[in-house]
Amino acid sequence: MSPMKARPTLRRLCAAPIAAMLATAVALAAAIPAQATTVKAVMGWNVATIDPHKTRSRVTATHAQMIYDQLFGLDTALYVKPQMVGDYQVSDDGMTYLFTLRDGLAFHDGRPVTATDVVASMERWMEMVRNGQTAAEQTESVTAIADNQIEWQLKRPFPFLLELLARPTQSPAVVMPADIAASREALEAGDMIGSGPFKFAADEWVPGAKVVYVKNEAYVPRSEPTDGFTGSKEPFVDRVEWLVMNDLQTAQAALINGEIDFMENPPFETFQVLEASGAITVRSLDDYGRQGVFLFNHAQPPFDNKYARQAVQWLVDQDKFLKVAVGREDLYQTCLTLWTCGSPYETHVNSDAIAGYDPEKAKELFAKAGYDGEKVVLLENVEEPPEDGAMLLLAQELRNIGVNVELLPLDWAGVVEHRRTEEGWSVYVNGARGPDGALPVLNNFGRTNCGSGTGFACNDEIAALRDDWVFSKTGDELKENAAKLQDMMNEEAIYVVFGQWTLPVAYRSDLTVQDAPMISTFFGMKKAE
Amino acid sequence: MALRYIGRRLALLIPVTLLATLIVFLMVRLLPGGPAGILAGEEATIEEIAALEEELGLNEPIPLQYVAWLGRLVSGDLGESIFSQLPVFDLLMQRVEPTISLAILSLCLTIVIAVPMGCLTGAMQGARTDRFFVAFTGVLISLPVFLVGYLLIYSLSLKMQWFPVQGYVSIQDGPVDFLRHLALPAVAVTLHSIAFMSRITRVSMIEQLARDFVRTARAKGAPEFRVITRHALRNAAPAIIAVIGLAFLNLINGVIIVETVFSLPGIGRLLVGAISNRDFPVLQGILILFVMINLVVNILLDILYVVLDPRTAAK
Repeated sequence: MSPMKARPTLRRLCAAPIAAMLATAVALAAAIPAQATTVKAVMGWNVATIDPHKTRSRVTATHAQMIYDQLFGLDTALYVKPQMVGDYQVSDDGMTYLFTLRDGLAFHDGRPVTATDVVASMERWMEMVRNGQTAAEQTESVTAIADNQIEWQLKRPFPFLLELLARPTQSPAVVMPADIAASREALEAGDMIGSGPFKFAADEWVPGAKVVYVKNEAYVPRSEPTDGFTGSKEPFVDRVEWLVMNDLQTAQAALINGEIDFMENPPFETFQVLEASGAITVRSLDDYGRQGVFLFNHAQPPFDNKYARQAVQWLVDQDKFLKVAVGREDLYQTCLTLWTCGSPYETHVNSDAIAGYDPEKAKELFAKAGYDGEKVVLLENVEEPPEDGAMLLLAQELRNIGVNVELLPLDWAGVVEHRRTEEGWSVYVNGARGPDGALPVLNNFGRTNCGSGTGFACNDEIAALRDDWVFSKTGDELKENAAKLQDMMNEEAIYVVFGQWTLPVAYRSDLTVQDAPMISTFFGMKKAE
Repeated sequence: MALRYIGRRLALLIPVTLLATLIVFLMVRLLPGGPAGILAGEEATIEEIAALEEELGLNEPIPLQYVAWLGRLVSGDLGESIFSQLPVFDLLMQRVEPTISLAILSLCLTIVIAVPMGCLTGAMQGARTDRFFVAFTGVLISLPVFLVGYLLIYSLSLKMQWFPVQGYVSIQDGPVDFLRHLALPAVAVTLHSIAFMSRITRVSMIEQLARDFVRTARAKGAPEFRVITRHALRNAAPAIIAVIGLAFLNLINGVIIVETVFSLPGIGRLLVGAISNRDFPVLQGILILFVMINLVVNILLDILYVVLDPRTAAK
């Protein structure tokens, strides 16, 4: 046999086994599942409680955004858009809303989402949550009129309803199965069934150490791209693990080492180290960040007198306070509005005192308030370094003009305990995430309802104006009334803003992270293979 | 005599435990603030917090709350976490493995390194090696655990990339990963114990080596190794065992810091979280567990003394 003739035979002889090997390799490759993508994250706080209606904690709201969906959502520009709702109509008199659910929505256990589930969930929200109670006060009835249609009947026109339904924080109006929503007890791990982009892995939950979510393969995304809490919200990573690390230095080292992928609220002083590592992105996911405020005990001298409170306005040089609290100029901005800088209701009306700095004037105002050297107790929240820094500076400013100051360093639980009575405290420091403070009616620091017996502001006129704000008829009227409210509140110095700063997150550069107001989202997040 | 002594020690457990429950309960309730303020969230109003307190039964008089808790404790019920709604016992069981693993590994490291080191330097009293040992262990004792932890993370995790910064892998999921994750925490928590225990061993050995029976053994021509191990070390054993017990208790207490620094999901971290949240049932459960461990270890040590030296019971 000549070599020329042997070649095709040889080719034929080899072809069969090679083809078989190739086919086997292809089949094996197909059989081996692709490496599951897992994102490990350290969140700003531990998810202490998982029932979204039992707490206003932000991390529980973040947890709720993982597993639940809402009828409406808030986009990055803070506009309300339909989410579970496909179409909706509002009657001409503004009293009736008709919501139609999108097709194919299903809970994690496979049951379809029906109008009955929505009604039961909204009833739970309206009974257990303050924002829900605000909605309930204006609601005549919420009825399932078809499997996928809900009729929301109001007592009076209340355009703010959709805003309340869309809030991603402050105990959001999430939808859960009717049988679970029927309970007013705290939900347990086994009850964590929603229709959101991730499923809660109840058997892997180690309270205080680890929370695990797995991708909801059956999630029905909207066709629009993800934008804040609206649009597709499609999950791309297979598994998300939230690890609790009490020590932020350890979390930072773990991020640099590649042991975790994402970290909320890294301390400001670590940014340089993180950025220098070359593999980590540090950036803010929203433009609003947090607004820091000093709150007074309005029931005790000297701050029961508005002149003493106004004196503090003149003592706060925001730039100086922010340098101490935050440090990096690219992270903060001076802010002269009570309604969050960058929000639609930002106004600078009656903010001369906040914009200015005049210790002499502050001294005069204290004298005018009849201050005679009584002790002023400042509650330090040592768990929040920026706010703690600001409080230390306020103490110094007050001492400089001769005020008798006592600083009380406490953790947050201690601050809460002290501020709940009328005695034993004068000022405490707190902050609100931008969009939560941007709406006068949701801004808790502006509550001036009398009779709480706790030292909080009491002013019926402001309270009435605040309650009526939501009934403003047009956008211009909303802005006008927000400005009017700020004018009155600054005149009374209900509280004092000392600035606004962003709260960046840090993540490995192989992650793609979506912007979102106030809380971090994991839908839309991608991790490079 | 010995049995009567042990019986007496065991009987003492009951009043001591009762007293401990009272102290633990009062300590926890004396913390400023409560769980309702945390549970309600940082933006909650005072009214919302007050309503939650009512719902959680925290407005009941303190003595009534104590009696109710004690009643449940006696029947073996540690209660439920106010936050996660899970039984405290289950939470402890979830967290016990990393803590016990770390404590046992650290104790083994301590014994294996500290006892021979103490014996050796005790036998070489005054030599250059001994003087170096005294100085070196002095430095180790004065190093705070968290500082050692951070130094180890910086050098061996971030720079050398030999060990992970944080986390825990169960031994069932692979002994190598288990050891890699526990190595740095174990070293961090052990250095202090090694220094402490080796110094005690050294002093005990020096004392024993100066005794008449050692001189007699040497005079009879016994080899030095035999003198040290069979005569001196044997007689120094009760003191060393006492220190091992103390070292174990120190390690259990020290893991709180180490678990936080290395983010190990153990009981120490559970305790830190419970303090921060004022999760009273969890906090009380952990503290009682720590008290019980301390009491049991002490009783075991007492029994061991009697076994090793029956004269202790008579004393």
